[in-house]
Amino acid sequence: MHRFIFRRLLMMIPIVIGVSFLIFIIIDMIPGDPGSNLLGPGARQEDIDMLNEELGYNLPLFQRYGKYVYDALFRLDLGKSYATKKPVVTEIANRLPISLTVAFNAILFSLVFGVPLGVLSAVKQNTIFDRIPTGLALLLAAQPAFLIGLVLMLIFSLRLGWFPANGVASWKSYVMPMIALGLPYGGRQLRFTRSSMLETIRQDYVRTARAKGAAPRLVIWKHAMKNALLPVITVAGNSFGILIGGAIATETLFGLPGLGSFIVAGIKQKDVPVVTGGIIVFAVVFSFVILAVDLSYAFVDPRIRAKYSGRRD
Amino acid sequence: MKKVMKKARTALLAALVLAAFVLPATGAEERTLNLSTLAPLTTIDPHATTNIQDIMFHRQIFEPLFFQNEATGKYEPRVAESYTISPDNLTYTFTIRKGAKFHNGEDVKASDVAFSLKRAMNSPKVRSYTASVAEVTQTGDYTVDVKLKQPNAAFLNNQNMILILSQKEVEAQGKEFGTKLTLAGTGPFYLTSLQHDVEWTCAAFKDYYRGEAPIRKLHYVPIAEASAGLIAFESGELDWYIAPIANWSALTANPNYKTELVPANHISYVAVNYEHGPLNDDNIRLAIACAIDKDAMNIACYDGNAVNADFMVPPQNTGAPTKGVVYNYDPEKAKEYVKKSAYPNGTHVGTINCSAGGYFEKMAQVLQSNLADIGLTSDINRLDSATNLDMARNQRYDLLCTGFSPYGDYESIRMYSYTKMKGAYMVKFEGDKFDYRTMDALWDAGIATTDLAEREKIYSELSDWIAKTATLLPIFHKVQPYVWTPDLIVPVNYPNYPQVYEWSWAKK
Repeated sequence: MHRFIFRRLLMMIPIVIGVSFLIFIIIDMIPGDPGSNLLGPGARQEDIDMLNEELGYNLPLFQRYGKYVYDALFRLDLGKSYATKKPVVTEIANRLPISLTVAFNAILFSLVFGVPLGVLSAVKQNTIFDRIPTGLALLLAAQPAFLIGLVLMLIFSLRLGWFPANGVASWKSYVMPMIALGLPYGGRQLRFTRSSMLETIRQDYVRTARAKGAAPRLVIWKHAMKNALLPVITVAGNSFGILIGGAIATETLFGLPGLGSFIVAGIKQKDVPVVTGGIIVFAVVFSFVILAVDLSYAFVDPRIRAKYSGRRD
Repeated sequence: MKKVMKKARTALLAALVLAAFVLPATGAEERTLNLSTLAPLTTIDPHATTNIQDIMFHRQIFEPLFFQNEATGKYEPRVAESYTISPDNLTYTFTIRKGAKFHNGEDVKASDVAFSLKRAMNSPKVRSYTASVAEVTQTGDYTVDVKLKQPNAAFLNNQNMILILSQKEVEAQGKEFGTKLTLAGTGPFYLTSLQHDVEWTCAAFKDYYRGEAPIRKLHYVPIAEASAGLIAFESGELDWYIAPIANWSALTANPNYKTELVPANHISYVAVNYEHGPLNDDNIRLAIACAIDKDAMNIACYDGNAVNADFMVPPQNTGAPTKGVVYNYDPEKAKEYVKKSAYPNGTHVGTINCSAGGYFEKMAQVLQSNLADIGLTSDINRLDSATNLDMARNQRYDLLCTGFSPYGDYESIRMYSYTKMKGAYMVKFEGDKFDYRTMDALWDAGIATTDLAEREKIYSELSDWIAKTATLLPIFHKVQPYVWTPDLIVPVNYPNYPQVYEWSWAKK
């Protein structure tokens, strides 16, 4: 198990270097320069040149990249934002907890909502308990989080006044983003759980458990559920990773200063340190999440645990 | 013991009665004004940004020497109480207001003013406003001389963009100035908390030389999404808001809100790159100018609430022309121009560039339709704003729908045509096509002339010169749809930058 974790952690190094290099190349290919973007229309060329010089953007691409990698590796410094002049590490440190909170709660909500209904739907296949949840799942999965967010705002902020429409002042600020992001993913989880469960409950070992006289509830929750959960965990893990940096529309709508909106703002201003730093952190967090997902298989399935333990090797 | 208890009870009762009368009044006075910006604050350093959202806030905590009132165009003394100009129009002597204090409690001195102006001269973000300044000298504790390279009639307008900072506070924070709380301003409010991308708060500055602001506390949040902002306003989270124009009718019909449409100090225009293909033909450009239906663009972009523009700067700007060459919607005349051109049967005029996501897209669609009506075909290219800007600067466009906020003087539009401003201009006039030297000379004459009537005459001539080229076509001045709660008194809603100091809560 330890060797497996160590190997995976080691793999992150080339991933981070590759991601940062790609970002540097891609941003360099985008027309324009940070100086002209920051100064806006009507700025004089001499002022643009002066600002680019001040930002270190006039150096050749590979020199800039080399300096970036050196600072990142040996000083743990991801540079300063061209726009705000604040250290990118600080900016990310402020934003990452917000993104993690929103993503974690949304995934938790999607699981709480989707898994029980998915199980019910599978167990009661082709009944009203199946059709209503699957119909609902289809409807929710097709809705963009942005739209759900607006509807929630109209109801819970404007009409009822229960939750603030904007900001991160208290736990209340996270409720609507959690539901807005969680509902579409919940719909997807419901469908995954249903199909996975349907496949599992037709397996021989489930039939055997039933034949041995085990209570139906025990068969479902103890025998079938553990195996049916594997694809559900995979989807939840991937979704969590994506939500950390990808919930841009929801962050914008609810005024959440998360990682996604930070990276997008950086792209718009050609703020290289922001984009590179943001995406590196996103890649690292995503890698950790995928590692956690892989490890969680071991807890659910003893066969996988055995493989991780090296017995297969 | 009983007596003591009785006395204590009486004292407690008296305190409660007093509190009942006093506390609500204090509470009302201390009520926080909730405002929003469209983007997080990039910086607190006013010399390190040209972002209009930043400036809207900076104007509450920092001040220039002289403030140009956006509504009247007049200059009002702020950090300086007066100024004189030398007979050769080359030296401005500012007398600093005695009694003006920074938020740290220290007096504003000439040294701070000289420091601020010199700092601005070295900042890439704002140094264009000090381009005409040769030297800044502190001549006394409360006097500063600003020597210009050549006479500059727009100097006062330019210094309006340079906000005065405490040298001590700026130097104490060093490179971190702009990223954290500061007491470096002289404005009516000072910062009390700061999270650039979440929220920031201010309190009224008790020692402000014009008197403490009637509203004591400000709370700002950045809300980028217009619908979310409107919901925040309607649910009571905001007290004053620049609403989306699409909701204007509903807001004005609601008796619970106060509303006002104020023309912004902004111009939306179409730039024509005469160097590209058929656009080099004078008749084709004139046809385009006459084909544009400004009313239709106004309706498409601002539900008809914007102000159609005849000239490139709104009339409240110093030196803005009020009469001259103007193109009005006349499709028949446009068709005649097409017939007279080298392309009598119409042609493809190229691509209309615009930034994606805003109203410029709608402008581009109407323009495409207007051109099609006179037999000119075109494509639309929606670009991210950075790419659009880069292409415009490098003359990589055929037609461009865009906009600009002047800052109070006709001179502020110079960069879009003056040939010595490479990289800034949208139309490159330098070449064989036009007598660009005349245009450049008019720009130079306008800035060197201090007599306002004479300046207006020069700019009128200049405006006509540019209009005749049919390359920079003004469309409309957009409007600011302001909406606020009825218990908030806002004497004047300004075109771009609110002056919260003038606001107060209605007495109940």
